[in-house]
Amino acid sequence: MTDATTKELLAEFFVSNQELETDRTLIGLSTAPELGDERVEMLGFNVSGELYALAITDVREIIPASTVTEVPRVDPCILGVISLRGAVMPLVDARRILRLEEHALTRSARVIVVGSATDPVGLLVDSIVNVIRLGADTIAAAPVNLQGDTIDLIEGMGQFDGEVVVIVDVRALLRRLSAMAAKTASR
Amino acid sequence: MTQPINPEFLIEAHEIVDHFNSGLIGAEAEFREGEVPPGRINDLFRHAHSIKGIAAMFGREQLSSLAHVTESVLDGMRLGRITFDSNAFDCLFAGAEIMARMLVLASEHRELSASEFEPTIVGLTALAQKKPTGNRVTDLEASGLSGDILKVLTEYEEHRLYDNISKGRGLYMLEAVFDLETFDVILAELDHAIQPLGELITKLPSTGNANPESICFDILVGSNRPLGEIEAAIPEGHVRVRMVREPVRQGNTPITGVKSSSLAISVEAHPLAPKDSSLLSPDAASVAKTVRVDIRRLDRLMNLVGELTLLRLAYEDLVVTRVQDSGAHQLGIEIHKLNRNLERRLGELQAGIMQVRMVPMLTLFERMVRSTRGIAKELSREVRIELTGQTTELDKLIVEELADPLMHIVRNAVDHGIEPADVRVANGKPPEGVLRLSAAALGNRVVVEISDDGAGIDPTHILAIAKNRGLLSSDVARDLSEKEIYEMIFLPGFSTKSDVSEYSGRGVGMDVVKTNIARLSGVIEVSSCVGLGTTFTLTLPITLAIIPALIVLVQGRRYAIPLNNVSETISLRTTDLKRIRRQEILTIRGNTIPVVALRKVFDITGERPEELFAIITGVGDKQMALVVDDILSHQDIVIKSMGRYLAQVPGIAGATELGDQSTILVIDPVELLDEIMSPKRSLRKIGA
Repeated sequence: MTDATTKELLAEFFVSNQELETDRTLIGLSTAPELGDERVEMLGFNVSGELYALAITDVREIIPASTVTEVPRVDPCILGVISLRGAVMPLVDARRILRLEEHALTRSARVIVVGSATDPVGLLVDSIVNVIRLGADTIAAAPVNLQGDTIDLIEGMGQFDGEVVVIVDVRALLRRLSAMAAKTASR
Repeated sequence: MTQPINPEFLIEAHEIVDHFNSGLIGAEAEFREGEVPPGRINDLFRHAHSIKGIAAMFGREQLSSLAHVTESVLDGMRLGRITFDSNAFDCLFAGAEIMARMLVLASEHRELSASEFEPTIVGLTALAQKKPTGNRVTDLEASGLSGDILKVLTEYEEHRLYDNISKGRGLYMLEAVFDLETFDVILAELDHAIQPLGELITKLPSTGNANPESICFDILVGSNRPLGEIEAAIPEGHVRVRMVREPVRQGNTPITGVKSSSLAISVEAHPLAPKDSSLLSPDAASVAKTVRVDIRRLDRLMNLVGELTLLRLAYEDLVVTRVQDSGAHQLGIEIHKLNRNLERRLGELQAGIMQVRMVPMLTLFERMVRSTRGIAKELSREVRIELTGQTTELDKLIVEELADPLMHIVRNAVDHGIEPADVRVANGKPPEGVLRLSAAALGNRVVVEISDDGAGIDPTHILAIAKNRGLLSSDVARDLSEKEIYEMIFLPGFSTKSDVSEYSGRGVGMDVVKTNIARLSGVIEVSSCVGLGTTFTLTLPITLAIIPALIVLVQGRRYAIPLNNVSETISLRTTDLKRIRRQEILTIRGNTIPVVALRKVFDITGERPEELFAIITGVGDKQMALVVDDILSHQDIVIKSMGRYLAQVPGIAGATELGDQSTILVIDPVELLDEIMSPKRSLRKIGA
């Protein structure tokens, strides 16, 4: 993916961010892909050579990976904190939370910002693919033989350009973080 | 309650309930000393009326009906139908308590169950329906006032007139002509001038003047002072004072039959002159000069100032040093001056915003007084509350967060601390227990103390319970100091009373209180003496916003350590650190202090340098030496939350941004201190 397309993608996100904001408040937080013959818009991204996606309505914005400040005494999935316009948010390593191999990150690494406006969370991924449209009928449940403790983070599987796309459940991800926080506190 | 609750409503309603409560406390004190002044009753009445209005507007029916019956009671009191007595105060305080609880529940979209508020409503209703005593028509006719004036008095004014006569006060009629444009200001001045001498019973606009530029008033004043004194007190102007009835103490018989002006006209014809002018808020002007601001806006401003400070630092780094290095001396001096000036101004701006956030402890303390009344009555204890230092100011956010923990401590003090009156007497104490609430500023901290003269806490009792609950093994217990034993009441799962009472046993223990105080970067300590009482001491920061901090280095990582708990910094060598029972310690001037090495508690790998720095940190007599590789600088920081997912990392208070835009973590020394000090931790280590 070239820098130009990233910029376009970023521009698109910043422009549509406000609309997203209002949309989301209108429909609450239920942004699960709709069923039927509608096509579902998702943000595709790469982690350790695999294609993943999450609902575009869950994406607050995409920012370049910046310097992370390590936080001690937390789950290793949390790399630390990064700064987003003066606010501080945790940065979650997608590779670690999805139990994938840790390849070295390149310049194309990006942070997908999810979560609420008051408690945003950054998800560090290898690269952004693009907005992908999945036929709702091609989305299926994840096979049960997927690794045990990541299964609850997977909402399902889809097909895009003949490639398997793993759909990440953002709410399950946030729940996992809350559970981690509780564990850290009682340490 | 179908409507969403407007937060503005809650804030405003809370404020009015607080005012109401504060007024009740004042009224009770005045009642004990003699008489509750009419102005006080009017204020209370007005507050009840406002609460009723807001509650009705937002569909809070419970609150509205409670405020309504409270208002009726106070109306009866204004009109002299109902008199103050201890039952009346009990009912009104109970009403205030219930109103406050309704508001708390409203913020959680809940309502009080009927069984909780019905008794209060019933009590107040019974009070409101009391029948008036005596017939006063004859008294008023003896006032010496013309029937024309008596006819237009409101029921309230009539009552005030009656009250003044029955107290043997004199009546004076002030006939005044005021300029139409400034009459309201002059009237207010007049009111003010008369207040120390007596009471302004009514102001009736009259038509005694044909000049369209001016307006006439007949002002009736009740006072026990002689005519001369009244005349002397009245400010310069077109006012003529006429005595209608002589004060009993001054003369023999009231002077009657003085021809009074027959100029009274229907009051309703003057929309600008409210029928009952005493109901106009005397504080209307001062209220207009205050604004209510969402504290988050102040936070935003504070953040902005913080960022400006950072920008200044960045600019200083870049420009000031570069110009100085370039050898352009004159320019360098100029820039340096401007830079210092900017720094000073930013400091003032910061202090100014900080000042806005400060509120006195008074309101919080008064809430405690109200609640204590209710608890004491419920538990049949006699309790007197003494307040000191209620003007001490604290960050508004801290004051709000303090309400629950303070309430819990106060409940405990009344329930478990102060003994029933008969027990107290048997122990040679006065039947009335004393609960002292005090606040005092101490540097950049505020110390709040809650002490009672009750039974005290028996350390052997604590030990027994701790063993019983499996919090402690016998061999460890022997080594604990008295202080450490008292600390155990803050352990989760510890509760000194086996039977759960309504007031103390709400499923939260002192551990929650401690956690809440710690969240405010505060510390709670307890000391007790069997038979004499218990004292809880809360040490809190004055503000949470901007704090001075040390920027330190550990293995290439920077951290900020808040200075408010730092007593000194020492440079040392690794060899200065000694080991005792696997614990590192440092000896300074004969004192042995436990060492907390940041690299160790944060699991940072790498070689420890030969030369180190120790930051001596402590609260009260608890101290530790935080050991770091280097101290880089000393600067003001804005602590930022790391969000809910990282809010509770032990030992980390938050994050902050430095001048070079990098984010670093802020250490929470109090939590680290707790980790090494708390019996919980030491027990775990010993393996109990």
